Amino acid sequence: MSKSFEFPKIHSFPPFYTKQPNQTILNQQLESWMNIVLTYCEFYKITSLSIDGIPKFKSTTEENNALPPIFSNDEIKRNCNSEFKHLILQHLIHQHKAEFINQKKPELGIYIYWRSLVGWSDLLYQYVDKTGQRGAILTIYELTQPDDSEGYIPQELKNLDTEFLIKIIKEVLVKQGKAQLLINEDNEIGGVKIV
Amino acid sequence: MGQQSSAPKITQQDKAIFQLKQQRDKIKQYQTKLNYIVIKQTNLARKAITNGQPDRAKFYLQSKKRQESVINKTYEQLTNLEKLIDTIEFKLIEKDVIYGLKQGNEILNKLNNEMKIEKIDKILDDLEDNKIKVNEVSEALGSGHNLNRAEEDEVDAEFNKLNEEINGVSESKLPEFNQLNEEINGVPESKLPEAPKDKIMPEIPTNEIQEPTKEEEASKEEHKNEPIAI
Repeated sequence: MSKSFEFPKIHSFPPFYTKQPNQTILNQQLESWMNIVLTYCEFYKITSLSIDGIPKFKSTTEENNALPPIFSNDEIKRNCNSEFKHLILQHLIHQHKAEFINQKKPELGIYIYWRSLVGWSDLLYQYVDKTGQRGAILTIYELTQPDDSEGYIPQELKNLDTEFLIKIIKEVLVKQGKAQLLINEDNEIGGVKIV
Repeated sequence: MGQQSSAPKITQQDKAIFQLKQQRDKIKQYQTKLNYIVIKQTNLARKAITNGQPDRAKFYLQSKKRQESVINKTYEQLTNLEKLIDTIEFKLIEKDVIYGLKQGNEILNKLNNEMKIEKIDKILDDLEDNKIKVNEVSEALGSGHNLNRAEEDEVDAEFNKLNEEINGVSESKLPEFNQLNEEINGVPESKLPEAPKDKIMPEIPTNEIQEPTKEEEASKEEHKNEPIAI
């Protein structure tokens, strides 16, 4: 990607990397961190972060080390310690902007919701509807790994984390009665029928 | 997951298509892998040539060629699978069309049964009976309520007189007058705007007016036979 993410000024402010003792200031600090995480993830299309804030899954193709780190700034030689990182991520979870990938295994990382699950499901549903594929059986693979013959998967859905896609389908479309998942022979979710 | 009663049903055909599509996905994945190998082999061959190892370069290129022919074979398989998927999907649509035709036909049959000529005749018959009854009733009532002809004429004359006094013209434009006039003479005054018919004869059921002309004629014929029918 030609342009890299531009952090706000506060990202170059040394005290920003240390947990502030004053509760009011701390709240503001967490709020600012949340906004940075969300805009950062949206910019690089990152849908999940490891528990240490390293991008786990993104739909763009850059290598992780090509991205500027979120929780550190080399220019001012500051970085958040892991305790503070966890506090920030916890704040995102409290604000419903993030969720553990697996509630029982927090070490697996978190999903970042710079777009809500409903927003994602709308994108998916619109795509299926517009392309006349309602009622057809679609494999998860063809929804995320389109080749050129397959066509017009919206850019936003291309190369989406399959786990994440399944979560979107499961938690929104299935609950709305608009979708049914299909299990393949490996007992994994492999397809979906959206009506 | 208990509240999934409204979830779309997965049919046997859906499962079959799902299986086929999964096979297709696997082939595609396999192709991706082969393509990756081909690129890798090409790079290795290039490297070998720059390093002055022509034999090795050839080996890589041969290997690459083999992979490429495998890729071509997988494309054939892919085409077969996709054809099969398309055929199944199209057959399903045909099935829907046939089902639709069947449904339409059934409904048409039902409607035709409902519109048997005898039934319609009987309905029109009954209608005629009822009309006569209504007329009888309204006549019976009407004689009590309405003014007789002489009285109506007097009203008319008085109205004209008053009208002349006030407007200086005998021409009347009042709708009431028009109605009365029509009721008595049965002819609407040509100068006046068309009077709404339902206001003229409120006692007569509207269905008489709405009757299609053909059926009306038919019903008139029935009407002659009426006493026998009763």
